[in-house]
Amino acid sequence: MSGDDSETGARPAAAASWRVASVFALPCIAGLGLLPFLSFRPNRIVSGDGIYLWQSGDAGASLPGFALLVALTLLTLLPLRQQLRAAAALAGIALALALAGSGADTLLADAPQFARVSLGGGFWIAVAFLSLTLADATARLALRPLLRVGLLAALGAALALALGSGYFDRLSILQEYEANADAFSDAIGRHLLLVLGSLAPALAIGLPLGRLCHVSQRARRLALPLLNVLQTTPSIAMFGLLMVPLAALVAALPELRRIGIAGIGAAPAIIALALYALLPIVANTMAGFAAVPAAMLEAGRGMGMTRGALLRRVEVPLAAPVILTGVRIVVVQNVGLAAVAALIGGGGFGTLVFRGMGQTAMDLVLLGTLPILALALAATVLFDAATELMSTRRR
Amino acid sequence: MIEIRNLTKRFDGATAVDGLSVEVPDGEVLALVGTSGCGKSTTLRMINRLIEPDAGQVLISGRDASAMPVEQLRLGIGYVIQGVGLFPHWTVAQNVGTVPRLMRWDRARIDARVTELLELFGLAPAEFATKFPSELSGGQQQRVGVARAMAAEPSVLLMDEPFGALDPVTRARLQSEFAAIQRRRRMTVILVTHDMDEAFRLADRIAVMDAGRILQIDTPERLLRGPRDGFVRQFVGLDDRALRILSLHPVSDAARPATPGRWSVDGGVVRDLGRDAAPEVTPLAPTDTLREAASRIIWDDADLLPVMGNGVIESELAAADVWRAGGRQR
Repeated sequence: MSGDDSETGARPAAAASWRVASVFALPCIAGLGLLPFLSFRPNRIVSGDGIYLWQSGDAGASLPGFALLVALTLLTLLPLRQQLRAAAALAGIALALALAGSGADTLLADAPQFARVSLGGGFWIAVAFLSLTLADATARLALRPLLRVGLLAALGAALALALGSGYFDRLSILQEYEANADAFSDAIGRHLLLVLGSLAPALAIGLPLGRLCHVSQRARRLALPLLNVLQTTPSIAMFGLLMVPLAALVAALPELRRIGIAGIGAAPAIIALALYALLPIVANTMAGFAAVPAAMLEAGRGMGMTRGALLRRVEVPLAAPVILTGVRIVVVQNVGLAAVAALIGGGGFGTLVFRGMGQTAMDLVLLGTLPILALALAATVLFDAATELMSTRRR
Repeated sequence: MIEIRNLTKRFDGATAVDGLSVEVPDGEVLALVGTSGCGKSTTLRMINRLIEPDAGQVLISGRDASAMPVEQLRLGIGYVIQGVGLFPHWTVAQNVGTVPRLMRWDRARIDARVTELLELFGLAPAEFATKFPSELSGGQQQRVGVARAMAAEPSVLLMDEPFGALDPVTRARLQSEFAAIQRRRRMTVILVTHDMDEAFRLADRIAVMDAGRILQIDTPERLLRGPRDGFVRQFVGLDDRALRILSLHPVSDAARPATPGRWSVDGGVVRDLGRDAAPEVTPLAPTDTLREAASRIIWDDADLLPVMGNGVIESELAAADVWRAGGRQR
């Protein structure tokens, strides 16, 4: 028995990671086998014919491509080092993209002018589960925060290069981009304005309010129920509720219109997003201050710190990681919620989504959705890295 | 010099400290000992006004503590809190420099003082200054905690169970380190502890407290020889008081001149020529305690042990003299 200790210790961990890996890899293979990889449509809005991966290009390329993709996916199942698993997953994603691009070229080679090739269920499932494998493997590697940010930037740059190369231009989603390039670049700025513009007032109100709630039981009893109600109000209702008083306000004070405030548009959207941001910021600010050990406060006071010095030098730095977690929650939440703002003329990527839904053009919907996903992912990685940098080497 | 007059504190009707008065002259270490809840920590925390007294007065170097701005009072009082309480987001150097920074010393002076203190506590500045508290052992953290309290050369040092959270070996080592530092620095210290041995090791005088009052205050030896009250007798631990008295004295207190021709020293090996076959003996050092000497006498079954200092046998210690030092008749 005793001689096998090291082996029995290693085995359950390997088995567990195999189970996790198979949860990601098997659906990926099933998706590739059972669902069409691409979809061919005679024009932009009719539904199309499913094309399986092995039918998608000329047989000399697509069949080996399919086999290689399945092989790469199976590779992530082996008890390899996490670096290799991540590399296999990344290679799989790149291969799926390349096959989609070349598949579109082949299918459209002698098709009518308005024919479109969209990405199919098989593609999305494969890329989604390979991404999960990639995320799982990198999480297990426990990379340093700055390295994670660097990797994210490198991935973003690689994606931008690939999309700019023209290789994917015949996919329907990029044709939608072509037709809506102006709207797309407006949407980027507007979406960021909505998210960051609502974050600033939310921080300006939420941080002091959180501190106040930490200090005063009465403030807590007043503020928290109110913020809870705000948080649970459905977003459409919130936008609608804000339109009425803002419109009335602008009617009463017409000069407000000159600085861009109106019942519809960005103003109510920013206010609504700021209100949604309040509860997480206040709650995390309170939790952050509450988590500062009493011994730290006693040490600071006992050594002669004034209340201001204690707050600045001890309490805020010790509470900061928890507060920053709250800011991350808010940013990610509002990146998603801002999409709904398009309904009241707030702009942002939601505009593309709703325009696409109106035209039953799913690729236009995707053109709005994918950047939202990417923004949320980037915000998560950035804020997690910042939080970790701030709390490293502490107990 | 700390003068405490009639200090009183009540919490919800219960009296925590009850009209307590004591004077601590400059350079003295006073230990407040007692069971938990006896009011010793409350007393300590009323000196730097972490707790405001209900009645009574604290004078520090003749100045009324309650009349000073509270932050200024605390800047002048070193405070070692229970459980160390180092700031986890600051390096060792930043922690030690806390009070000098609050007092707006210039950078070079702070750096010099931090380096001096780290060296004093045996923490090589090059290695430890940039470490964070989580990277230190428990004993190292306690050293930094004491160094931090001493940073601005306070006239008074308050210590609340300073070595409480340590294993016995590390605790004993830090106690003797602190005793050695105190012999040179002669700070005015009030030390709160529930550990009688710690009080005996570090204090010039010990105040035994119960229910918010001082039952008896005396030097360690007088407390051991003449405990007045039932609680004090129990707390002082009379079963091994003879040994405790011995532990208060160095060997040099009871040694007599060496008998000529009794001891031979040859290449570091000491032999007892007064016994059959001249067995090898390990000499005592003059700074060993009589308690350690007694243990050696019992273990070696010896009447007489040599005392070696500076490489020569300078004196000898007789068992009878040890027994007399620890006896009631002294």
